[in-house]
Amino acid sequence: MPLSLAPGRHGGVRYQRRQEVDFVIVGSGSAGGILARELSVAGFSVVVLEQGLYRRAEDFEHHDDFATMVKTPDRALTGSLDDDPQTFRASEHEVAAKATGGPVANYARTVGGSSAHFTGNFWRLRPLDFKERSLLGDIPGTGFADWPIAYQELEPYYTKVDWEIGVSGEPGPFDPPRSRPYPLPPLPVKSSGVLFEKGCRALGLHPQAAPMAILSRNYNGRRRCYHCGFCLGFGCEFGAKSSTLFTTIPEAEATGRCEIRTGATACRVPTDDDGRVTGVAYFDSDGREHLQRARAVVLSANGAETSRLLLMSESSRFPHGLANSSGLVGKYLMFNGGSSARAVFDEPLNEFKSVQVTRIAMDFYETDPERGFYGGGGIDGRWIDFPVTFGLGGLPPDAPRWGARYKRMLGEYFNYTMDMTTHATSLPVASNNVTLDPTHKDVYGRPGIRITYRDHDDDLATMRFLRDRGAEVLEAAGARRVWKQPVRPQTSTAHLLGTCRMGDDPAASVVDRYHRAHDVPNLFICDGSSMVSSSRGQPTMTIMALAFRAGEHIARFASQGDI
Amino acid sequence: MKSRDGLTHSRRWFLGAGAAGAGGAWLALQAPVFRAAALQAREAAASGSPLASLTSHEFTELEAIAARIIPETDTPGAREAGIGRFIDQAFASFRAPDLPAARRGLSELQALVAAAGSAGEPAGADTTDPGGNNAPLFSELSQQRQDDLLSRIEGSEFFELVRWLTVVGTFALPSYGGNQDQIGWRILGFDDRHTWVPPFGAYDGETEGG
Ligand SMILES: Cc1cc2nc3c(=O)[nH]c(=O)nc-3n(C[C@H](O)[C@H](O)[C@H](O)COP(=O)(O)OP(=O)(O)OC[C@H]3O[C@@H](n4cnc5c(N)ncnc54)[C@H](O)[C@@H]3O)c2cc1C
Ligand code: SF4
Repeated sequence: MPLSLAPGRHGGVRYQRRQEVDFVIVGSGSAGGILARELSVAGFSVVVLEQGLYRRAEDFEHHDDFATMVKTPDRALTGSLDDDPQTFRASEHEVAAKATGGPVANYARTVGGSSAHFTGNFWRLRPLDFKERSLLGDIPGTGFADWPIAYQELEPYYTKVDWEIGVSGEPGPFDPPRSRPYPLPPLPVKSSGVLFEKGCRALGLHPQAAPMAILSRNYNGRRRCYHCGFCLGFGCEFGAKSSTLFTTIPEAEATGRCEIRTGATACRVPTDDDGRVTGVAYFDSDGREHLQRARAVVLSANGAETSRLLLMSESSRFPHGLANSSGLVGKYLMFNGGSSARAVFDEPLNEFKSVQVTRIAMDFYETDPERGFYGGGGIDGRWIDFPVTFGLGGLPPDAPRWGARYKRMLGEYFNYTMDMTTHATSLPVASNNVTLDPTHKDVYGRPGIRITYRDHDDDLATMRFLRDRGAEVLEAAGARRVWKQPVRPQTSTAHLLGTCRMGDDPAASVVDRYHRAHDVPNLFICDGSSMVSSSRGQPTMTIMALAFRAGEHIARFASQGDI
Repeated sequence: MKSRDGLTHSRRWFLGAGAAGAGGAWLALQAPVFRAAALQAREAAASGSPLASLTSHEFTELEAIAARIIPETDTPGAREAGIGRFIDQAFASFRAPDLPAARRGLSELQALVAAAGSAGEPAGADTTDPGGNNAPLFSELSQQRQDDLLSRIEGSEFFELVRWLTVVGTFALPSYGGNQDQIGWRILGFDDRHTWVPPFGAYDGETEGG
C-alpha cells in the first residue's frame, strides 16, 4: 500500500539524490531527530531518511482508542503487519511465528518515531547503572557489562534533554546529581498519584513527582498539556508531548541544511573497496530504489530496525552483516521487565483524564543481594485503559464478562480503578536477539524482523517482586480491592535496547564510546541499540542524552577531518 | 508484553482478545478499514438501507445475543446503541473472514435452542429436526433462557467473536456507529471532552506533594 505523502509539509531544504551530502541519518525518532539538529546546526548537510509519514500536531486525532492513529487515512502509527511482517519465538529451537495480534517490535513509523506517541516517563539512569557489572560481579550466561562511559560524562546531555526537549518534574530523594533544576514544575497530580503517594508513605517508601517529557507550562513556543487523557500511544494534538517532532526536528529544518525525506525505507548501507560506507539505499513510497550518497552515515532506526539494516547489508567484505565482526549486531536485546497490579477505590478517580503517570517510587531501584536475584526498578501509580480496552479486559479476572452484572460492574469500576505498574531491568542474554526472518518478507522484499526472546529468570523474579510491592502500596492506600496481573515471559516490546552495544573492546561491542562502528570509520550508530544495560524501564531519556552527546562528538570528528 | 509504556505485552489494554484473537493492537492496525465500515454503518442505519453482510434473520439473532452481552437494564444496552448495524458492517469489511464461523456458530446455537426446547418442553417439539420450524428462534426465547444458553457457549470461538464485536462497537467513538447517543460511554461514566483541568478525581486534593 503506497504511503500518501503530504508534499509541502517539510520545512527544510530538499537535496538532489545525486548530490553527496555530509550525513545521511536513518530514522527521525528519539535519537535521529536530535542528531539531525546537532549535525545541521553544526553546519553539515543532512538528509534524514524516514520510512513513515510527516504528521504534525493537527494530524493527530483525539481519543480514537481503536485507532490510536491519525487522520491520515493510510496507516496506523505502528504500521501494518501485512506490509512488514514480524515474527517471534521464545528460543532458537523454534520456528518463529508470524505476529498477528500486534507488532512484536512496537514502535511508531512517523516523523518523531516513538517519541511521537510515547508516554513520556523520563528517568535518568543513576551512576550505578553504568558500572553495575563492576559493583555486582559477573552473571554467568549473560553479557552483563559496564558501560564505557560514566554518569558524569552523560550528565550535561541529560540536562540538555531537560531544557531543550522539555521535561517537567522535581528532584526526588534518590535522584542522581543534576547540574541544573528541571525547567518545568511537575504536572498536576491525579488521584492515582495521590493514592499511590498515600500507600507509599504508609509503607515508609519515598514517592516523588514523576519526571515527564510533557510540558506542564507553555515552553519554548510550545503549548502545555491540556490533559486530554488520550496520551499513551497517541500523538499529542497540542504538541505538548516532548517529541523530537515538536522540538529538534523543526529546528534542524530551520537551519536550511536538513531535509527530512519521508516515505523512504532504508534497505542497505553499501560500502566501497576501502570498507567505507558510501550512503544509504532506500525504497521510496512507490517502491523505487534510490541511493542517497553521503560522506558518513548515522543509523538511528531503533534497536530492531538498525540491526535489521546492518544484517541486510552483508557483503563479501562483511559476510555476517555490516559492522558485525564481533557477531553482536542484533544480540543482547533487552525489553525491560514490566508487571502490574490493579485496584478499585470507593471514590471516583476519573483516570481517563490527563497524562498516564504523576507519581513514582524508586525505593527498589537497586539490586539487593538479599533478594537472591539480580534486578531492580521503579513503580508508579497510573492508568492504562481507554473505553474500548476497559470493556474488553479492564475488570478483575473473576468478574462476569457479559450480562447485566458485567454492565453494572463496568460503571462501578471504570472511574474507580487505577494501576500500579513496574518498570524493571532486563539482563543482556545473547540468545535474546533480532535476526532476519528466513521466510517472511515486507512489501519491498526485505526480510522481516525475527525476534527471539525469553526473559531471564532473574528478570521474571524482579517483575514478580516489584508487582507484589506495588500491590502492597495499593492495599495501604485503602483500596476496596486489589488484584495482581500474572507475570509471564514477554512476547513483544516497545523497548528495543542493546542490539549494537557500545564498548571499548571491538570484540565485545559494535560501536565505540563515540558511537562509531568499530569496523567502519564513517558509520555511526546511535539509538536504543547503543545501550549496554537496560535501564530501569524508561530508556528514552538516556537514548536522547546519548544522541546529544554523539552529535557533539560526530560533529567534532567531521570538522577535524577525522571521519 | 512489554513496558507499561510500551503498549503491548500483557498490557491489558492490548488484551481482552480471547478466542476471537483481536485486541487493541490488532484493532489499531485495522483502523482504516474499520473506520470506513463504521461510517457506512452509521449511514446505513440513518438511511434504513439494506444490510451489508447479514440476512435479516442473522441480523436479528446476532443482535439478540449482543443484547444479552450488554443488556438493557435501567439504562439502554448494546441493541439501543446500534450494535446490530455495527456488526453487519464489521462482517462486510474488517471481520469478513469470520462471517462463515459466525454463521456456523448461529446454527449451532439454534441447534442448542431446539435441543434444550425439546428437553424442557417435550410437547410439540420435533427432536428429529433441531433447526426446524417447530423450535423457537434464540431471539424469541425469554431472557432467562437466552442467558442460560449463552452461559453454555461462553468461551467458544463464536461467543467470543460476538462478545468482542459487541464490546468494541458499544464503547468505540459514536462515529463508528455502535455507540449512538454515547450510550456505551454513559454505561462506563466516561465523559467526552477534549480538555480537562484539575482536580480530575475525588482524591486529587489530598496530596502532600511529591
Ligand atoms: C506507546 C509507547 C510508549 C512509550 N513510553 C515510553 C516512556 O514513557 N518512557 C520511555 O523511556 N520510553 C517509552 N517508550 C519507548 C520509546 O519511545 C523508545 O525507547 C524510543 O523512542 C526509542 O528511540 P530510538 O531513537 O531508538 O527509535 P525510534 O523512536 O523508534 O525511532 C526510529 C525511527 O526510525 C524509523 N525507521 C526505522 N527503520 C527505518 C528504515 N529502514 N528506513 C527509514 N526509517 C526507518 C522509524 O520509522 C522511526 O521513526 C514508549 C514507546 C511506545 C511505543
Ligand atoms: S494528556 Fe496532555 S500530553 Fe498527553 S496527549 Fe493529551 S494534551 Fe497531549
